[in-house]
Amino acid sequence: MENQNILPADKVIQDLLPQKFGLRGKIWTATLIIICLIGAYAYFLQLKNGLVVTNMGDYVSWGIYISNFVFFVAISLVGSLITAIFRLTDVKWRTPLTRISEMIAVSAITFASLIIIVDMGRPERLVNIFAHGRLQSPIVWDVIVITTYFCISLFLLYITLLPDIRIMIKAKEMVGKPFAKLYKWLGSFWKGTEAQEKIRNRSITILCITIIPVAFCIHTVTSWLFATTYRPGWDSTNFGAYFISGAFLVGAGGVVVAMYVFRKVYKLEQYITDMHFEKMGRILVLLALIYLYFNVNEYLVPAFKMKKSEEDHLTALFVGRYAPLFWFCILVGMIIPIIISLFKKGRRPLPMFIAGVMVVVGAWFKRYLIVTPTLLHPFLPMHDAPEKYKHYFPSWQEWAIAMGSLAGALLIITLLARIFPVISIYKTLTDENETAQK
Amino acid sequence: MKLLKNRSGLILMTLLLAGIICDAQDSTNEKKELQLNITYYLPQNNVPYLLVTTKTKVERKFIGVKDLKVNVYLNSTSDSDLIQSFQSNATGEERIYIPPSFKRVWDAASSFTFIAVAAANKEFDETKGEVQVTKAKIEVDTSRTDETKNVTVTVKTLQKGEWIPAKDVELKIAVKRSIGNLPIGDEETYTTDSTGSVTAEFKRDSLLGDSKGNFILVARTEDNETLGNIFAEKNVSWGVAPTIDNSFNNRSLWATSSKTPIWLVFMASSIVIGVWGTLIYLVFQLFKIKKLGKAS
Repeated sequence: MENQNILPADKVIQDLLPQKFGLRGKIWTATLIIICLIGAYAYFLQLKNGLVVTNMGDYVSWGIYISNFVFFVAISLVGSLITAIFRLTDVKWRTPLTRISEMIAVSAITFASLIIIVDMGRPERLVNIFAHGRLQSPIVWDVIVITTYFCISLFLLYITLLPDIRIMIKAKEMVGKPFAKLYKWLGSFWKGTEAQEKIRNRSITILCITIIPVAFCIHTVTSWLFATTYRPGWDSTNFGAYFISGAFLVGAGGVVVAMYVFRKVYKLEQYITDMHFEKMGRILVLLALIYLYFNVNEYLVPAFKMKKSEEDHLTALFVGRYAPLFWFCILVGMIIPIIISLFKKGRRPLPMFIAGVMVVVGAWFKRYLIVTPTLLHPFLPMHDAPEKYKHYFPSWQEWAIAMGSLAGALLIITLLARIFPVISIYKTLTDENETAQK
Repeated sequence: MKLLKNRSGLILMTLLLAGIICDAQDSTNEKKELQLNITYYLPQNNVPYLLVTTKTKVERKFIGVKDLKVNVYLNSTSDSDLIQSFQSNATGEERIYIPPSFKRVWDAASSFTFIAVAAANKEFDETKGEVQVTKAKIEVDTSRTDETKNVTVTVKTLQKGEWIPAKDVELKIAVKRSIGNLPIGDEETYTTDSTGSVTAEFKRDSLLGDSKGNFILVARTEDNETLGNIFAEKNVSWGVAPTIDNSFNNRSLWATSSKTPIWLVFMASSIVIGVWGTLIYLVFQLFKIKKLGKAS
């Protein structure tokens, strides 16, 4: 693709077909499964003993689970950024990135849904949201919009996969038996006729148009869960835009990391080229600058006024007990990635991978900072509260469940990459043909 | 010599101990001080009553003394003048009405002395309390011009069978509220003139009344040396009837799910139907693709 080299169709198919796990893949998958199992055991303990196994209490009632939830919702927005926005704006170089971003979106939104159930002490009561939910409550909006976004993301992944499934059915010798039945069940009806293609293309366009407002809704509603609660740090009219800008940044960072890993593992240098990192680097700079701008708004304006009721919260962030984490998030999550990506040399694969990791790690801790310090600094002072209510550090069960969910999301991406091509074969071939015709 | 020294030390210690023991005995025999108060009340120029209180100071606080025998007399402590005898309860308060047998004495005179005598017991010596009262009556009248509302209170005392205006009587004029009384104007108290009257302007506009806008005006003397506590009330319709806020049952953002605002139901439903309608349409398109595939 780079330098306009036209690749033969057979080579494209061979390169992009899902590959069996090598030793590293098996170790990676086994590690993820073990972390998931530890998380599942911790959740079993939580189910058995109740939320008492966590360190959440009367003040910090939203701990690491909700931080994790916000993180998952944020990263899931990448599906709408790369697939929908790039498609609707006809970004030509998007092809190798769309499938990756769709896989990330599906896995992230799956675990966003699950982690919110984990946060409930009595998960069986989830049904009450549907039976007795109040439409006035942002919690209900969140449940509706997450379900909707999950369905759209899954549908988008599936419908874009159809031509590739046909290719995989045809190339069953190369793909191997394990998933042959699955491919057949999923897409044996796809013949690639003009009529089918027309409907598929129209459906993808409709989905891309639909997913953008839904994606905005999902993270705006998540931000409103905070902003509609009167607390220091959350009492902002800017929260929707602040959250969405952060979501696009972490989504882009996640895609950059995944691009680098898939390129290395599956040897996709001819498909995910330096040009893709260069372009994503530019996008990352823009998104990081926008998010930094919102951060300046969110922290500098209240700090300038330094209202008495917000002073403790802001001081804890700037120079207090949360200062190391706060400045880590600002520097590592935004400023350093901006500096790296500003320079042409920084937009090469490895520096971009490092910048992407920084963005994702910074984003995870940023969500922790959004949730916990605010809950520890309510407007009403904590009078006669037990000492342990005044501090929060997650219990091992909380850590295990949170890490288990992160591992679970990575496991889904890993399994999807094992079953389906991480780059659309059909679209790559189409692009190659178009390039050849030119 | 050594023995003598030891003995003198022993004697000194014995004397000291004896002194301490005697002092302790004296302090245990010391009785507490009882406060026996008797207060006269005349509500609405009707049946008067007396409030007898038995209290003592414990750790800087006055608490009621119970199980104390108290006799209440009219004018003298002779048995024939005994109004009532009672055993004090835990609150240390007892309300006493003058029995009908004292009607002749009551009607014949215009001033009286009420005497309360608490019998001695292990804790208290015999204690006496008394209050002198002149018969009086109090009346509340109201007048209203376009802009002002006035309350006129008249106090009269009975002297030689005649009701004479009571001069220089300090009064409180207020509106009766749930917990306490609210003064009708800026003044805390008002004083009657030579006609026994005082007129006060009512300055509490827009005061919440009952369901019809009525409230009760009350004029009273408080622990007056000669009149005791006399008070009169008058119902006036100078208040504002409360408007009951029935919004609790209206559709609102804080109501139950069945009371969701229509605009929210409409907006949310439109969005949900719009998005899910699109998704359902796309599912049909998928079936169409499937059908086309089977056909080919």
